[in-house]
Amino acid sequence: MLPKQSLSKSSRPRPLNARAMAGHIAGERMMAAFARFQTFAEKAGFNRDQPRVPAGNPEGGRWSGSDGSSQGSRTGIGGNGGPPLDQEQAPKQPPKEKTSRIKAAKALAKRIAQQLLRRAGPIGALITAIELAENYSQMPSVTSYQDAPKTLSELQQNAGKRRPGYEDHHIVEQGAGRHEGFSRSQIDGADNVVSVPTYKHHEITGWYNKPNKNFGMQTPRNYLRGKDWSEHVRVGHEAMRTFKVLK
Amino acid sequence: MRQRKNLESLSNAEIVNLFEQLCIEQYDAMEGDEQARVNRLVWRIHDLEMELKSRPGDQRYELMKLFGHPNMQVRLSAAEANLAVDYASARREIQAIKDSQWFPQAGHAGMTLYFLDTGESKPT
Repeated sequence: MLPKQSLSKSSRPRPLNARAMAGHIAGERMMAAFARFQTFAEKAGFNRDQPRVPAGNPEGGRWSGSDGSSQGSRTGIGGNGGPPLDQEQAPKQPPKEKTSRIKAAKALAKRIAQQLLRRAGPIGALITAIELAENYSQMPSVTSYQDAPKTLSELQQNAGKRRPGYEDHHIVEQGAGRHEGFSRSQIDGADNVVSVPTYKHHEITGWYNKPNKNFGMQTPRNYLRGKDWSEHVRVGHEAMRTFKVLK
Repeated sequence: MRQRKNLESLSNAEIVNLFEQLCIEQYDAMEGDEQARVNRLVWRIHDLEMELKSRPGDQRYELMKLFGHPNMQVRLSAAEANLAVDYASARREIQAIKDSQWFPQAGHAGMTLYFLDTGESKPT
């Protein structure tokens, strides 16, 4: 670093004023608390989407299943207790209240990602930290959305672990696999199942399900119908790279 | 067919405004993972593009006014609609959307560029 005297007065770094410094410190403390909460939630096996006994029942609100696991969940790889997204039909519309909550949390996740890109200042960090606290139920998903892209083996090694904020994703989709006659062992094999951030999973699945001009208004899922395994994998890997899940 | 007749009676400016409005609704639906609603809107937006395309001289270039729009879905849909009209400008806009890293539109933009480069996508 050059000695201060060698810099002109206007280009010398100015010290943060007291307010900005307080905002920066508060933001850092909130982010550290948030990281501690996520560690705690992961250790406790907390899963926001784990089914509960419905209201009105004497045990209403409790997690269903004697060992805390979700009732009727798929066994083995892919059964993370959340709604299956790799399926032929479009998923049911979520209830309006849940839709609003998810929308708010996704918008927050994207704002954080953009702030990280732009290296927003301490006030931005403080405001974000406050919004994080307001969306605490979605925190694991908001946090995981900020993950940097990972290698395929890193994504594969976490499959099946039911981590909060993550969902298992089949690179060659399960529905497609059934149509093409791919074996169950191929579809559920370690090469084909990866653990990805929840919101990224939604984004990738949304791309597969949407009519696409590139394919004459077929969905990408339909475009791939009749193609061999390697074609499905090629497109699946490209989708994960493009959506910043895969390095 | 009834929707097509209704579109025929709209001016270019009205179609562009409706295109913008529907793209904003699509953005909102994508944020809420409302796939059925997204897909219905995609088809309505596609109909608007086809109506402009069918007009003398192919009027899809009118949608280029929406390049740089603050809503990422409006930009993306307008750009994709113009790949056959002004490939270079449309591709630049799609690349900018990809580079913004504002998802999911950045992802959709990136996949469009990928399939253009492989030759699997041929704009018409």
